[in-house]
Amino acid sequence: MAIFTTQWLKSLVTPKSKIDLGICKDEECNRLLQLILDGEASENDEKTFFQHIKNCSYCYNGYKLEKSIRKLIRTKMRKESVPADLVDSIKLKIQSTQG
Amino acid sequence: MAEQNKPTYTEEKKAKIFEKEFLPHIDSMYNFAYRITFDEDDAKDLVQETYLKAFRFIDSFQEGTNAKAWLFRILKNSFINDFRKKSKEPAKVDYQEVETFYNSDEVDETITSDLRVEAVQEMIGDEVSNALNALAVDFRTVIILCDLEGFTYEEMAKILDIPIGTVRSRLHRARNLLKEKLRSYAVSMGYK
Repeated sequence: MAIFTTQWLKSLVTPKSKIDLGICKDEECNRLLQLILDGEASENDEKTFFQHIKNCSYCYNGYKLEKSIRKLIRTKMRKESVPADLVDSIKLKIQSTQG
Repeated sequence: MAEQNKPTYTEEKKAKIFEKEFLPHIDSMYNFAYRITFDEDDAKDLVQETYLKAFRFIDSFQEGTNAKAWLFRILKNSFINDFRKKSKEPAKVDYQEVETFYNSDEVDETITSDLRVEAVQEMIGDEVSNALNALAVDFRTVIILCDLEGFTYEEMAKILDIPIGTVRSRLHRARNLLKEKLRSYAVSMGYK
């Protein structure tokens, strides 16, 4: 039947239909997302991605989530303070090896 | 460590480089050491050893290049070569094998859980620290280097002696594992 054309079949799996369903699992999107948040993406990559998330709630949410996790790590991880005697002890050791 | 055009510094110059380029990173170094050893004394030893080596091999350091990455590389090597052997930590999973598996194309990416931004924003330091600490040391390391210390993929590749592609895939795997841990916390907090 003419209605089952290749084009029609393809249309079922185009990004657009995935976007409509809110389940864009395009590996390329995820790759770009990681590169962007790690500051490793090209200008072009960024453009492509930000254009895409305007219409894809799945990737938009993924971006928000990944961003919030990075922020959480950066701002809330416990910080240890360097033991007060460490620098002096290193310097002493160096002096003694120089003898 | 580049061997070509090795500079030979005067004693005075060495002291200056050590003071101005190496010591300012002690805070990051100690925190990194602590996060991979979980022990104050071990972290101190590791940092001390790193700085002594850095001084001993200071002629391999090109002034004005990335001292922080250079120091982290020494620390990581000390950890692997000397420290891990001595430590009482139980044997690790064969992580290389795990990585090879996840680098293969056949892996079905089951990425996102139902972790939500609001739940992440509610989390406190202890929860995120515990989640990160629960990861295997190699996974923990890439997240620390990337997210906390801000190293680029290229710098991480040099610090860890692995190709950039491996940095990327290890990081990707580490982030997914971390996300899973955070999701468990979110669930226990009553978020869904």
